[in-house]
Amino acid sequence: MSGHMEITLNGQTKNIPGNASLQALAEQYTKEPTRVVAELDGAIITRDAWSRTILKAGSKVELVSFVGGG
Amino acid sequence: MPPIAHQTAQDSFELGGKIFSSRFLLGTGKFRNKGELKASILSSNARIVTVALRRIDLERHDENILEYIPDGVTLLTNTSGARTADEAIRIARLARASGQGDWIKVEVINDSKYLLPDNEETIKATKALTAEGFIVLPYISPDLYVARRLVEAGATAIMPLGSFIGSNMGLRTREFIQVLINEIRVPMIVDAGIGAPSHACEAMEIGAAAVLVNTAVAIADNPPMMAKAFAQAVEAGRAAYLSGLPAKRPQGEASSPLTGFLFE
Amino acid sequence: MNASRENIQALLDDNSPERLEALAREAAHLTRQYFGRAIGLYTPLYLSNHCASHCVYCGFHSHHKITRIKLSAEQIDAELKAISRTGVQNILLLTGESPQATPLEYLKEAVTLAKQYFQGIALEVYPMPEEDYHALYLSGADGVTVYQETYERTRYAEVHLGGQKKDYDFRWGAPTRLTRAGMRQISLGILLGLGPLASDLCALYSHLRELETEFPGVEYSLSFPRLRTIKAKSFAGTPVDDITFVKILCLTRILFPRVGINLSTRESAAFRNKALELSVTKISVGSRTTVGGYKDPDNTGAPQFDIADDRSAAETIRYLKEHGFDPVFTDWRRIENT
Repeated sequence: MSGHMEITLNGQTKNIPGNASLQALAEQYTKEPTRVVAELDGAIITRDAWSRTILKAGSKVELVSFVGGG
Repeated sequence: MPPIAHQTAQDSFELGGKIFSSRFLLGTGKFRNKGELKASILSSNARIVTVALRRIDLERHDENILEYIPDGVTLLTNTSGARTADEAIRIARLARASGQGDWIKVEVINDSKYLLPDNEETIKATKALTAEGFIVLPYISPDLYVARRLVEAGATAIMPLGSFIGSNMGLRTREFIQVLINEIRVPMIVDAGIGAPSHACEAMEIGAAAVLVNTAVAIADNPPMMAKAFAQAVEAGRAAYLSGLPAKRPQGEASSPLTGFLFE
Repeated sequence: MNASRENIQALLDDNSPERLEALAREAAHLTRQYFGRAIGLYTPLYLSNHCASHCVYCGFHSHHKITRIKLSAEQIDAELKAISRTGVQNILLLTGESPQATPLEYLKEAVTLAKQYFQGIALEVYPMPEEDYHALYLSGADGVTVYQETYERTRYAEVHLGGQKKDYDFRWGAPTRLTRAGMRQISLGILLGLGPLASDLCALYSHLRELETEFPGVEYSLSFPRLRTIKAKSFAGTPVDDITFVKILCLTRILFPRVGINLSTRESAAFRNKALELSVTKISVGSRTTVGGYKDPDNTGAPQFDIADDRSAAETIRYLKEHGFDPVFTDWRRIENT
């Protein structure tokens, strides 16, 4: 049974279950994964790969989406 | 200087291989609520809107802005937040990964006082992004040499600023924009500082291909009505340009006749 | 103003003296604004009248039975020395259209000789490939003059009956090759009276606009030589009168505020003096259009065209100074072209 681990998400430290997938993480924070883009340790992860992308301790994740702008 | 060209029967706005029915571009920032944004897009018939990319808010599950942008409107993602070419490139790649398109407004600003763009970093980012197949519209302080380099770098259009972002000061850079319109073969889309429909009209009168407005619409008392006014001003200015505005003549100096000798 | 052929024709057809005066004032204002009262000076030196082309309007054409002369290196040197004593610092070296008689090596040598005496060296010779222009540039030439004469193809074919000059496109492409070769100054022009006037002006202006846009670093100037009699033989063109000529000089200035406008000694002293007040910014002084002719003015052959302003360089310069003009001998100091 894996314990919890620390990762960075959008610059904030988060405690998540060990072996969590990127998909699971994203679902925690957005209702619309289709509108969100994910970056893991500087590399863009396409949505079809989220489920099989397993996070490690210290992973740096960025979840970005569109907002208003000029 | 007026163009040595003849009027075309039909004025179509072509950009990046697509034809757009409006030369009015709308920015989506600073709106009080997203309903006003949607209404403004509809009332003005803007066919291209700019959006930005930000980290999602982890505490609140905001509604996504894309819900409020009608289908068929082209998204022009700006690289706002980027302070260097590398950051702009990164944002562009993220935008592309969203599947919403390849249109990027390169905006590289490392100046929080005036929000002036870094022309040099913009050139670097443009070169890299066009090589990766993006449709790039760089935002710059109007400079002829920079514009030429951007054309060489493959920019689809150029977005010279009219005045400082958010200032609503109008076309302070008018003469310099005129130089770019005269000398550069890609469309000029005047951006930043357009504070009133008359400014937008003026930009079109001098030959700009299109105009981008954000603040003046978003903070108006009635954004959808203001957006429509801007769209109408853009049309009027374009028609004036195509009709051939009379040039202003300098006054002659009082002196003895220059051509009297021909009639003696 | 939209410089369409129709608009130009309308201007040429407009007989109102008041509107002409207004046009002239605007042109004069722009010239003062962008050039002040500076007038660039140069002197032409014909190196050779050998010609393999048959241009019906020219005194040197291949079918004329004139004594064909080509200056030797020593003679070129002597002529250059004589001209440089007038104080002029810009020389225009001319030849007929004969790559055989005056090939690239000959021209390079002439440029090299000219470097001893002149800061600005320009050439008015037959059109050549880009690499040859580049060789001349590296030798020290800064500028080239090449007139299309007329842009109207049918007319062009009618008056250019033989030799390399028959090739319209090769001539038309010369300015582009020149800029790619590194030349900093290019002079274009049409021969007034030769082709259909409004069309030719429109085409010349379009050509220049395209060049300005594609090669912005070049200094352009325009010339409008008027067809003249050649030793009393007149040529069947449609002579352009003084009023029309003034319109052309003014219109050109208004359309191209920063482009140089050149007036040679084909024009009389009286006309040149008036034209200086309008839009002209560059003139030849103390000219001879015979081959050589500066060292030994009495011992000359046939001229290319008759000179109508026969003032010496000194007389012209004095006139300029007395009338508030600023005669400019050197615009550039020559550095080694690389």
